[in-house]
Amino acid sequence: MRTTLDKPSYGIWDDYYGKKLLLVALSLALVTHGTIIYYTLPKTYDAFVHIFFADHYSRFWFEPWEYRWYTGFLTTSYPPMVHQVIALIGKIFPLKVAFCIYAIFILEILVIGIYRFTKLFFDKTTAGVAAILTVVLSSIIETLHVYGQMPTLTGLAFLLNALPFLYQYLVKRKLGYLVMTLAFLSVTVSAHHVTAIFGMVFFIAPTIFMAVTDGLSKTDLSKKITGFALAFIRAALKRHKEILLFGFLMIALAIGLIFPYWYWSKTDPITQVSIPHGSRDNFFEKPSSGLIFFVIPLTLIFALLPAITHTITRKKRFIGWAVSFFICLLLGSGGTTPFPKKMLGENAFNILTLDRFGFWASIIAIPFMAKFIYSFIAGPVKDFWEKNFRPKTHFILSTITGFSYLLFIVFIFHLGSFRPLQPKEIDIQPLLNFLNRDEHMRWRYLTLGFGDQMAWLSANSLAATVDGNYHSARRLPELTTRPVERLENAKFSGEKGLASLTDFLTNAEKYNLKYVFSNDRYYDPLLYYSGWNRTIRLENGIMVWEKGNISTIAPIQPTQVHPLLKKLWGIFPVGSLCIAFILTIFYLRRYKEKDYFDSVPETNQYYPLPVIYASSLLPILFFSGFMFKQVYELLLVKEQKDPSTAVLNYYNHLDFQRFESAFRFFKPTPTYPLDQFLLEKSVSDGGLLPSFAKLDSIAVEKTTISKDTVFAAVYTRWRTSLGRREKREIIPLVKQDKKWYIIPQPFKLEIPDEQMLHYTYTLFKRQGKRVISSFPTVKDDRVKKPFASFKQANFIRDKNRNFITGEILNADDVPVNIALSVLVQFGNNTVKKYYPGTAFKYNLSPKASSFFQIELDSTEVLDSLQIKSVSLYADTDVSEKGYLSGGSLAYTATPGANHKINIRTSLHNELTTEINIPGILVAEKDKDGFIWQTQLLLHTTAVRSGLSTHFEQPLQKIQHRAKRLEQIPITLFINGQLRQQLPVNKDELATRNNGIAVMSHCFMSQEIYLQ
Amino acid sequence: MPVLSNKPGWFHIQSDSLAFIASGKKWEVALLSFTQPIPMQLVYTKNGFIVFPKYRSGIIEGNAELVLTHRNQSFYYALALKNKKAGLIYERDYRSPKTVNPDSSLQQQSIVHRYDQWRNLHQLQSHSGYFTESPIQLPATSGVYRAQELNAVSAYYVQAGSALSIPIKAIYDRKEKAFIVVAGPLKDRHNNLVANGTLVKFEYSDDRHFFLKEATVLNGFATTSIQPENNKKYQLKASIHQTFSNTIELHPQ
Repeated sequence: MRTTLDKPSYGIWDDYYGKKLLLVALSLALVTHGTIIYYTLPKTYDAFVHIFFADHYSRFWFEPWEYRWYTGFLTTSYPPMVHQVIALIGKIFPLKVAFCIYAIFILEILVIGIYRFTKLFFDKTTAGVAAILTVVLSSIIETLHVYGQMPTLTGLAFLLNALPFLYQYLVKRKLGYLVMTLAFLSVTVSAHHVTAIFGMVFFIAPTIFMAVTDGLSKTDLSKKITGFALAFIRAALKRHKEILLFGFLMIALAIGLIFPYWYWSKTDPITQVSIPHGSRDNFFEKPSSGLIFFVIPLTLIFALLPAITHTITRKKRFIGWAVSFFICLLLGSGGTTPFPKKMLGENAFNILTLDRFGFWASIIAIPFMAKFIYSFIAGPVKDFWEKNFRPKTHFILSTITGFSYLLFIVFIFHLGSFRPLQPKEIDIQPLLNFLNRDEHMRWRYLTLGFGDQMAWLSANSLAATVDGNYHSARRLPELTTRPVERLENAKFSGEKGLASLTDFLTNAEKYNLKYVFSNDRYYDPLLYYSGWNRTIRLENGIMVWEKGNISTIAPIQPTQVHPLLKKLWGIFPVGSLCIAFILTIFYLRRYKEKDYFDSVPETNQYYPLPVIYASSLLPILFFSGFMFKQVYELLLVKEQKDPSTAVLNYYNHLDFQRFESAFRFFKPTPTYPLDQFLLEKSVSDGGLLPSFAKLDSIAVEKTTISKDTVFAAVYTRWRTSLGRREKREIIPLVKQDKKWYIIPQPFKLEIPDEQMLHYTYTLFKRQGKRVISSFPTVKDDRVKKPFASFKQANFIRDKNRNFITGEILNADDVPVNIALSVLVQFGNNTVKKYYPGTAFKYNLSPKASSFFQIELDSTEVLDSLQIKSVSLYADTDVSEKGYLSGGSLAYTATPGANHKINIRTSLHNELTTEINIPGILVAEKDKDGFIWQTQLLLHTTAVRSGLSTHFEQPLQKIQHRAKRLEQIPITLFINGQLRQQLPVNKDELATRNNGIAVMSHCFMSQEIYLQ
Repeated sequence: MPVLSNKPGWFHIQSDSLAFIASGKKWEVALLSFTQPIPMQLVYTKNGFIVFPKYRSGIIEGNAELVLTHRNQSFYYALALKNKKAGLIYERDYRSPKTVNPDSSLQQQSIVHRYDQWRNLHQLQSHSGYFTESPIQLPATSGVYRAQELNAVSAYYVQAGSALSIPIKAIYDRKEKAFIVVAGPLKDRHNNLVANGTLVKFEYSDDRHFFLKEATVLNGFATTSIQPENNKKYQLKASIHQTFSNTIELHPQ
């Protein structure tokens, strides 16, 4: 006899629909998210920051002072529960794994939360569908896998689980439910304060509204709005004891559980310039922000908006949710409309990241979306399609919709790969070895081009950095006065970011900053010209830059926190989770009632025709459209449809170093193959442009010669670490087969006469005489402080600018690194230190000298403070690099109008390595030889060995208008000892060149043993 | 309170032990010298107990405190620690400054002291004190010297001073079509060759342009090559800081 399980009595879906769907959702979440999170985690924005905090608690549970970022900050500035729990799991597993375990755990709680939350609205099967929807909802996937916002998800997971208890408490007035509500909300407060605060408005208030409404009679419910409002107020007043008791206890818990946080925010308020965030952009003006913060998380919500709107506005019990949903949706639209700014106020608008409102809107929408989806798959909407358009149509429609949505989800999972938000993963082990070696931890370090992985490095080391990845805790004025997210990605914050970074690199002594780990050569010119030297390239490709003469970190007095508060901070938040856990077990075993949601009224299953059509067809339209757009952008865009587009795309490929793609823009000809293009690039590249620059903007102006030929004038603006540069080029294009091609320009190759070039370098190696003992080497490892001498030092005032100029000599027999600083003492007994920027050669070979200029404050500031004394300090250190400064120079200085001097320089590279940035240090001298100003002038293209380059730079002379303030004497110190200035000699060469003296100061990137 | 029955003048760490008259069994002992804790052992006797060092190796001599603890009570006994034998004795000759430059001074100070393998100071053999210091006038010849022959850490350095003058000459190399300009031999006032790596600037000019070339000294000579343009004449001089050479004329003919 043939047996089959396809019998109704064996049907897997016969009973407990909701719970089975919930189990499916939980399993799906485990399989999909659980598998992928370990791989998406390193590419998220925030995961490593939370891991860093977890590491803090793992090391110092009861000590909130964290010294490793920003010269120290308090971790009481962020609710600790999530970090503390990860720290606890991290006692068994590695921190990354601990984070993943925690994330999966929270996701499961969130799925259960959504299931229970949906039961407040609809039946259990719909709640099961909602649970499955949660697993594949784009906003949740983005929050987890793109942002890594664990506290937000934790807060939400427990908030959603608390709402059914709150509803039950208000409906049934049983204290047990109040206890459960508060237990879960305590975890929300301990995990994420923002979720707790806004959750009160957007989730708790509508729940209370719904519970009160459900207590009304049918007659009250059928009344018009005024009658309903009066009945509602009466019902609310009847429950005022419950509502007040809940409100009072909730506020007490919110304050008490994380009291150190509130104390911190009151005593140390955030006063910093707002950091731009894409969620506040106008999404029409910046579609990329719109895509990330609005389109990706909310597309499904918009596709199903007709159905959501229909259901959420149909019943009076949903009024609170409708208001919350639409307000959140509006706030989530950022700066697209002026309303969010008006609603939140200027201040809150600039502090909050508005995408979280969109996220909350998507959460509120889940039950309503689930209801429609359920109806579409197996309910009245399905019946409608089958009845009117045959079952096959419905099957095809649902299949295509489902697949296109899943493709969309796959796209989000891989968003970090399609649009890289972070640099590639860096192996931090070599960095840790470096920090552990030779007491390198006694100084601070800075990472450049690490992205959020800088937090991962911090989490694994006890060494301190001046940077950090937690904006609210920043208190250094160099960071808070500029809209800069982090120093390590300063290049993305424009000129202000680089100004901030420059401050730290030049004032390195102030922050005991000695090491820079660079993962981006973009910063190399700035580092080199600010006096940093490359010491070693680590196994992972990271370049270590070092600055000489930096003092070790002096002990800092941490901000005092009362010992009791420290204990509370370590116990209460995790305690709240433990209590919630224990109470949940007790509730499930002893307290839970079967069908306890019997008070939830039934909702109409039917949708009007326009809603059915719109909500059935919009998803397929949106998701298929989205995927088609991605494919089109990837494969089908006509990059050469007109001359301007062709030039723009050509530059785009060049900027991202896609040379093969860029080559396709050249007119196909056998005489110009890819090899030739790459060869020409290799000999013409390597300079400040484009090798150390990022394309900022481009403008194309075309001159039509004929129908098929044009000349395009291309104006490019480049951002370099040393400021903006501009370039203008003329590019000829021709049309061929409906495509515009660039005609390759004849390449003028300079060829030196010599076949082999030779050059004699004198290289030095500093040998420490380290004695191996249990004591740190005090005397014998130290190399002596080399001799130096000031040739001159002048105080110059040029209108509102003030600076110290001069020249310093390496009087020793070894190369030296010199650290200069000016200490100005003011009338009110305050002192301020100033350091040189790029107008100085920090490394000098024996008997070499360098001009220098150290900028002081403006005349207004100096006069108001009244200068008492000015001291110029030089500290020397034996150096082994950096003293080679380039090739031989020829120059002429021609006077122009308005005291401008045109300096024409020829630089011949006689070295055996390419000079990447040819540069000169220029001094304006008077007839007696006094220096009035010093400037660094750089050329943008490289010069190869044996070749010469010519460049012309203007210099505005200042002697005619500036003053040399001789009445303020400058006291000179070298290595702490008082020194006299050498007599100032006339400079014949400068006098013959209109007062201009130059010395070469070039950057060579390739042979790091030379510089 | 335990009574120390054999209080010594010095407590010799390699041989001595201390006998205490005391009651009870649960005694703990610790010996804290002014630099380190010294592990001790305790053996009970009929009347009390004896304590002695666990390891009989040398220590830094000086004051110490013996701490006896019984339940919540602690008793302190002052001791003076000494080694039975001095062990190996070394002599150290510190030189300051380690680097001298004849441009300023050739004076150096020598500080000599003796210490044993456990870092205790010992009297000098030649004097009655523990240290002797003496000024030394170093020879003017540059080089690396050692204060103690077998000890590389004791090395000190006499540098070369600044160049006194810059002899300069130029030869036109027809094969290379370039002037080979040689500055040197560069010597200081004590006839030492100036340091390798010293920067020599060559400034030269034709009727319109000014040129700057830099070269570093190797074994007393700095060499550079200059390719003239179209048989042009150049006036050239070399300089190191404030020392200048004569001006010479470069002409290919």
